[in-house]
Amino acid sequence: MDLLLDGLSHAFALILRGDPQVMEIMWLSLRCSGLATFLAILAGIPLGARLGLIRFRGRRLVLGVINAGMGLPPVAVGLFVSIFLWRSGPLGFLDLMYSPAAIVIAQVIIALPVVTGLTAAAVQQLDPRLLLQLRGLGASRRQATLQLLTEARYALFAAMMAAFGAVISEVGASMMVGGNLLHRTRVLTTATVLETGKGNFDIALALSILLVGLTFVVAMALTLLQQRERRP
Amino acid sequence: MSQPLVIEARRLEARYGSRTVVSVDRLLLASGQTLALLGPNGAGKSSLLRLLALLERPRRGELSLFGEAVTGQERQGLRLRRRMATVFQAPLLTSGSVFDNVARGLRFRGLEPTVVWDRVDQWLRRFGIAHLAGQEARTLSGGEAQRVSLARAFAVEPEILFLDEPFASLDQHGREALALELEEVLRRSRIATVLVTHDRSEALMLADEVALLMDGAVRQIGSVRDVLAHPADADVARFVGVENLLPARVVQRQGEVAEVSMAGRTFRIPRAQELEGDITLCVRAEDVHLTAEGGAVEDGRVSLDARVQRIVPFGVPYRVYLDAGFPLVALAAERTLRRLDLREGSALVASFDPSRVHAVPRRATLPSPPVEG
Repeated sequence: MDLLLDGLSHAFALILRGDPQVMEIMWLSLRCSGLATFLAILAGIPLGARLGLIRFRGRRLVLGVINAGMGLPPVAVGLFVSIFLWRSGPLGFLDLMYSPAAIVIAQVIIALPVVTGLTAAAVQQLDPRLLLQLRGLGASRRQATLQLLTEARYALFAAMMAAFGAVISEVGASMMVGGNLLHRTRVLTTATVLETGKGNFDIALALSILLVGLTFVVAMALTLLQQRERRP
Repeated sequence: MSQPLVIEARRLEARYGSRTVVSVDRLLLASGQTLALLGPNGAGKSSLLRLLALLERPRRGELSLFGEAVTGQERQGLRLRRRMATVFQAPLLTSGSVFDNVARGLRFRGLEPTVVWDRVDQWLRRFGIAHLAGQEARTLSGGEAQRVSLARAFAVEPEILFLDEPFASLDQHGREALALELEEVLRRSRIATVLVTHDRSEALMLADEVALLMDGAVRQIGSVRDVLAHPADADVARFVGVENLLPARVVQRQGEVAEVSMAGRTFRIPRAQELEGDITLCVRAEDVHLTAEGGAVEDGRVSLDARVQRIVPFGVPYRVYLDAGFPLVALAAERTLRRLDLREGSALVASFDPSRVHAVPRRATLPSPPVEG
């Protein structure tokens, strides 16, 4: 119990003091996961919308693969990205292994199926006649899709939150492709694992509190955006 | 035809899976006309409307809109769709205010905000919903929402308007009120309109022409009055509300007049050209008069001894189900019921005026009582 109380008081001291190393780690986490989520949204929403709206042969198979991808283990993603980025791997010439870019790549792969799958589900949830109605009012394909995404925006925000939650909290991929290098690729989750292993529970607790806090702040911001015009 | 054609469809066919839902040989709509696609549920009316409105692709066939052959190309489709507008059974409003909804089609067309404002305002007023402009569209009642949907379609000033059962989601009162408003707007604007409905009174009220659809095909096309008065076959007759479809046989024919025999009686009917052999007589329930047993029947009427089987209140008149050796339905006012002291089992004389009978060729599928005489 003392361990916990000591750890907590120490952790809050670190946070309130704005310990530069802790802040640096938090900032890198936010940048990597924020960018990865943003890229996943950029690609995943149009992709999900198409999958949800357009019928083609093999659509169910593609949807099934994407839905399965939502549960992709970060460790497996880390392994595959490592193989590709390894010096002797197919993308080794890019020299991205153990860089923040490598973390972003791995996290995009984790977040993309989440955004795509949930977007497809959100669009399919809408009344299928709405698309006919929009086309019947003279909407181009693009205009109709944008309008349908607007109609599904609550679910889309939920998809964004789920994607951010998945990447900010993963440790396996970041550890494998980032390498947990101080001042370079150390993020909140990998640092927590390291500090816990070393027995530095105060630092580990501080990092965890920051991780939970960060997740909460981002989710809350998205929730406020999501609910801003919801009136009874 | 004096007016140019805005729709010209030939051998248009649509399928869902292996089922053919639309198979229309020829369908025309002239500018300024309203065509009702009338038919029972599942007749393919809405599917046909979606083909004509370029919302679905036909499996085969030719379609010209505004004199231009439809190629199926996306760019051409968009350009043509922007000259038309569709209203569905459900209002299908988007989130946002009533104003936003009515502005939607105009914004899709990239019109100037001032134009958008003017048009929206004009059509909100025309449908009596200007006071709702700022309200969230989701909070509207059914009638208000359907008015928004109509205003949204009219606001784009379409050259063809497609209405797919626009009143079906409303209650009786709301339906009549909105149909009256729409009738006035259509009459004034003279927009070419395709109206899908299963309600013949809506067709009568709103349309110039009617195409009667059954099983995906056009069974009859003509002026609304003509189709209602002279259905082409027994199915159409049944659909347009003819309750007595009586099997008969042509004995001989002189020009338009045929001598027919039915249930042991022989009489003459008009407008019987081209009818031979077995036919079906269409006798509307309101044309069947009831007289007391042994009472005098006007000269020239076909009289049948009958017995009352059931009396069912139906709107203002009562519907009287009779057994005249075959089933027969009559409509009777309450006054008549009291005067004749009718109850189930009462014997009476039912009669109809043969000159008001419309005859159609017999169809093999028609379930009918056995022919006598």
